[in-house]
Amino acid sequence: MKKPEIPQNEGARIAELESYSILDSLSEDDYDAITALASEICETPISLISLVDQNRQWFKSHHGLASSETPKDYSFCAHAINEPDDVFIIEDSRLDARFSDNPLVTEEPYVIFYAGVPLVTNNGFPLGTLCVIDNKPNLLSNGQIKSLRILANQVIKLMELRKNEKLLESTLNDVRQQNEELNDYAHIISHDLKSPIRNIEALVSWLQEDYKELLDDKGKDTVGLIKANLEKMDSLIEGILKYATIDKKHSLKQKVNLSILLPEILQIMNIPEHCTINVQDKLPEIAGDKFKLHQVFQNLIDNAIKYNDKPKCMINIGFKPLDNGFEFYVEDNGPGIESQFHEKIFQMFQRLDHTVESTGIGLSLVKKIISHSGGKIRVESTVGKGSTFYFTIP
Amino acid sequence: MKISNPLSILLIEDDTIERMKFNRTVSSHPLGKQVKVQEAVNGEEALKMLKEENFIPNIIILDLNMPRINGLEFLKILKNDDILRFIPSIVLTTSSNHRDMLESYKIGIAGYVIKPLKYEDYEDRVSKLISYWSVNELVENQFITSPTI
Repeated sequence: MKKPEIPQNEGARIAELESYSILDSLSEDDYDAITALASEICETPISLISLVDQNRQWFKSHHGLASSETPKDYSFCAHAINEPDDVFIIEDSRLDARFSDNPLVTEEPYVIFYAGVPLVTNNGFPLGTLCVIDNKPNLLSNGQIKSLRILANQVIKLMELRKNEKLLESTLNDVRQQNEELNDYAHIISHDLKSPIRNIEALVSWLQEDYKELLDDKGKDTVGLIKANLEKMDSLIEGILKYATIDKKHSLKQKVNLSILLPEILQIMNIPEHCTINVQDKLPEIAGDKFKLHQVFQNLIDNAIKYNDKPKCMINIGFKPLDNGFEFYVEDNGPGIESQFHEKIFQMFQRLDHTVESTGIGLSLVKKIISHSGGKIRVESTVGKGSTFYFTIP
Repeated sequence: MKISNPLSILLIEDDTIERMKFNRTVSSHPLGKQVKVQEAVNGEEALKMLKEENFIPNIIILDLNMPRINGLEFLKILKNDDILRFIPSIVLTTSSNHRDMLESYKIGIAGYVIKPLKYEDYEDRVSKLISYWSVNELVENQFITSPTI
């Protein structure tokens, strides 16, 4: 008996084989279907998908044979892979000096006839074979050999698919982990930034309180401005944190009745005297994350109030049903937005005026929430008359 | 208003100005004179006071983000101690991280108060905290260390 020769680049070949993480995996219907088909087409009782490992050949699929691996030294396939381009055919192994005393030939399963097509990866490494085996001398027609080659190609495709799936899975895992780290990071950064702001706020408050007799009006104004800017800084940090931690994964989808949610939102908001908010009767119940829906409505209403320039501020909130989902609107009679800014207002840190309250985060947060839930947001506006924000929720 | 015993608080806070804020709030509180605040600048120092110096306060108020032993680690150690586990612990932090809050309640805190931006609001919250704990029945030092219970 002649042992199979070790292929060149054996180390790299084994590494390639391992990259498919297929060795010792469970049997799969897709592979078993190919061996069943190969056996049928070549009219042989046995067909194997054999992968040549360091010291064994392992069968991803073994049609007509009980064992799932055999030692490499007895392997026919280990010979076959040394000629990766050719179909390796032994018509009668008993007459072949390389195999005549091989235990696989002289004993069960009596491998007399063997035909194997090397399974060559896209990187050019032969990992094993798709082979057919008979217990008596046999021959394959050209058509059968061609079919066996086609099936071997399918095996490689299945293996590539498997590898890509694994790659995708591990990439997704990486992304998930990175997202989580980013989330923690956002919290830590925001904490570290918030702490000194709180300290300054306290110190300035004490200055205001303890030295109120010493401070003249100008000094008091300055202290007031410091405090206003601290507030702005704080809401910026809070806004960035909210924006950074909105994510799809941790959305809690539940039934939200907007006829209940809207009054709740309005109740906790500071609605100025001169503002009238009309909410359409019977808002629908939708599936969504209550907390995020709250943020969307609150931000839009808050903007409608904050930037309103009319003596009587009017805000209308309503909806219409769509084929899939709903379109909601928040309409105001504010200053309106020029059309060239209709896209820009949804970008992070973009502001149209420089009041202290404006952070340039609110609308980008709203947009992020809505696009994460599969919806769209747009604005229609007439300068001087008002704006209407439309958004869809599927 | 009158309380039978002074309220003894262990404040664990690494930030000097935060400690000043707390003390200032206590001293302007109507019950301020009956409140005794002991300070520790981190969990490690607090544990030393609690375990080695046998200082048992009525309540512990602590920040979460601290160097060396952070707040959550400190709380875990506290809740695993046969004596210290009886001391109500209140988190006072800037972290609005939902996960931190859940984890703290899971370990067994008695409250979670977020430090607001404005000192005025801070004073309001911390005053309420002091008033609330002043009317509570609190575990006494000798009671929890006594073997007869």
